[in-house]
Amino acid sequence: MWSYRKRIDRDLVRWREAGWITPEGEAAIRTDVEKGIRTLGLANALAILSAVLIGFAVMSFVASNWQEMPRILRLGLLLASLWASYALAGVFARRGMDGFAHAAVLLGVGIFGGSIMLISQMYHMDGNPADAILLWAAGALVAGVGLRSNPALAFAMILVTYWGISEALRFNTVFWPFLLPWAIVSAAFYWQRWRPGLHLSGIALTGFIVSLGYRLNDGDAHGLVTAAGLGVMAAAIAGERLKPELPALWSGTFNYGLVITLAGLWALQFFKSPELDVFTLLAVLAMALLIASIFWGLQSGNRGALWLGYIGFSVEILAIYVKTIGTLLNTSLFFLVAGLIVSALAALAYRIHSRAEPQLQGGAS
Amino acid sequence: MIKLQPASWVAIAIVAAIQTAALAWMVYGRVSLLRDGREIVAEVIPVDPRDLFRGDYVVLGYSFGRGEVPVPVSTVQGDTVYVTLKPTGPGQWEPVSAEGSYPSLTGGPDNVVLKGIVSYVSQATPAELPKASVRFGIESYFVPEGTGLALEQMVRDKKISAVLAVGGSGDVAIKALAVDGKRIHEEPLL
Repeated sequence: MWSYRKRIDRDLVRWREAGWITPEGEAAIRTDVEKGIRTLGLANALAILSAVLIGFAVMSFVASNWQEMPRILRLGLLLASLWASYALAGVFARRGMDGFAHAAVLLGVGIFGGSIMLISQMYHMDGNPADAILLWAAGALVAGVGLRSNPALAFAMILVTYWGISEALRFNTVFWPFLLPWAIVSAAFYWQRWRPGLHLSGIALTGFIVSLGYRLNDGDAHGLVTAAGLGVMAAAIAGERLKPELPALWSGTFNYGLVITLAGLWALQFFKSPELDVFTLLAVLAMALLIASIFWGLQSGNRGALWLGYIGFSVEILAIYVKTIGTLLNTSLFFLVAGLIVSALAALAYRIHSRAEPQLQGGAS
Repeated sequence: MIKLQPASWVAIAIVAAIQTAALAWMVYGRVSLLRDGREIVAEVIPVDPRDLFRGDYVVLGYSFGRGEVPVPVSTVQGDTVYVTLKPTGPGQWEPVSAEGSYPSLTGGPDNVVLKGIVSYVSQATPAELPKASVRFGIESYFVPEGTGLALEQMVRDKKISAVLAVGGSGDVAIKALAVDGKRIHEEPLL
C-alpha cells in the first residue's frame, strides 16, 4: 500500500506535467488514494490480525485439552467453525469486502490446522509432527487456489518451509522432497500474479540453496553454493537482456542470486579458516562482486541490489577486520590499508553514483 | 480474489468439504486401527522419573525402542523401519529384527511388527548390526490440563503399561494406560 502511494505520487506529478490530467483530476485521485489507504488498508490489516488471533485462540483451546466437553463434540465445534469461516468468506466476498473475505479464509485454514491438532491429541498420535504440518499446508493450498486467496497461499508457503526445515533436521541431511511442494505453491503464486508471494518463494529457495553448503559434501559445499549464486545472477542478467518486459522478475532473481553468492563466499572466508592467500583472493572477489552489484543496481535501477551491495560491503569489511586481528602492528596495518582502499572506493562510488543517479531518477520516474 | 459469482459458493463448499474429508480420513484411520488392531500390552519405562508428567502430556518410554533395535547396515536417522518384536513375558517385548519394508516372515504368531522412525543410530561394529533408537509415535500421552500431577502421584512406584493397538501394516496407537494391570484412562473410540 505504501509503495503504491509513493509510486502514484511520482506518477501523478509526471502525468500532470505531461498534461495528461488536470490539477483537479490529480487532487481527486490523491483524495481517493488517501481514503483507500486510511480506511480499507487499516480495516483489512486488522481483519487479518483478528483471524490470526482467533486462530491462536483455537490452538489454545485444543492445547488445554478441556474435558468439560466430550472430544467428539469439540471436534464437531471445530468443524462447524471451519464451515462457518468459509461461509463468512463467501458473504464478505459477495459484498465486495475482499480483505475481510481473505481474513475469513485464513481463519478457516487456521481452524483446519487446529482440528488436525485436536485429532492428533485425541488419539495420542506422536508419530511425525511434520506429516501433520504437510497436511495442514495441503489444506491451505486447497483454500488458496480454490478461493483465490493470497494470504492462504502465503501461509501454505510458510508451512511448507517449516515442514522442509523440520524434515531436514530430522533426517540430518538435504531434504530434496521440499522442492516439490515448494514448486507447487510457487506455481500458485505465479498463477495469481502475486509478487509478494513470489518473494516468499525466493526467500525459501535461497535458504534451501544456502543450506546445501552445510549439508552436501560433509558440510563443505560452499564453493558449490557460490557457483550456484553466480549462476542465478548470470541468468538474471541474461534474462533481463532477453526478456526485458519482466524487469521485476529479473531484478528479484538477481538479488536472491547475490544473497546466495555472498552466503557461500562468507562461509568460505569466515567459517572455513582458509590459508591467508586463499582468504585474500576470496575477500578481493567478494568486494569486487559487491562493487559490481552496486554498479549494476545503479545502472538497472535495481534498488535492492544497490542496498544489498552497500550492506554486504560493510559486513565484508567488518568481518575481514575481525578475522585478521592479530598483533597490534598487523591490525594497524590492516586499518591503514583498508582505510585507504575504502576511501578510494568511496571516491569511486561517489563518482559512479553521482553520474548514475540522474540516470536512475530518469529511469525510475 | 474470490470471484463474485454464484460459482463461488461451489468453490467454498468444495474447499470446506475437502478439508472436512481430510479430517474425517484421519479420524477413520485411527478408529479402525483401535477397533480392529491386535491388542498388546507393553510395559512403560519412565523416560525421566522426576519429569514423568510434564505439563499436559506424559512422555512414555518403551524398553524395545531405546537404542537396542538391530537395524540394517545402511540405516540412517529418519528412516522408516518395521521392527519385529518377540514377547518375553507379560508386558515385555524384545526387538528381534528391523527392516525397511514390512517383513514377510515375522518368526512366530506371537510376534508383532511395529512401524517406527529411526531417531538415532549408534556406530556399527564389523561384527554385528548397528543398534538404533526407534520412535513408534506412541511416546506421548495427552492428559487433561492440570491432571498430570495427580496422575503422577497415582502411578508413582507402580508399574505402568500401555495398551496398544497394532494394525496390519505396522501402524500402532495407544488404547489405554494401565497401572498394575488395571486400566486407567481408557479412551472411547470417538
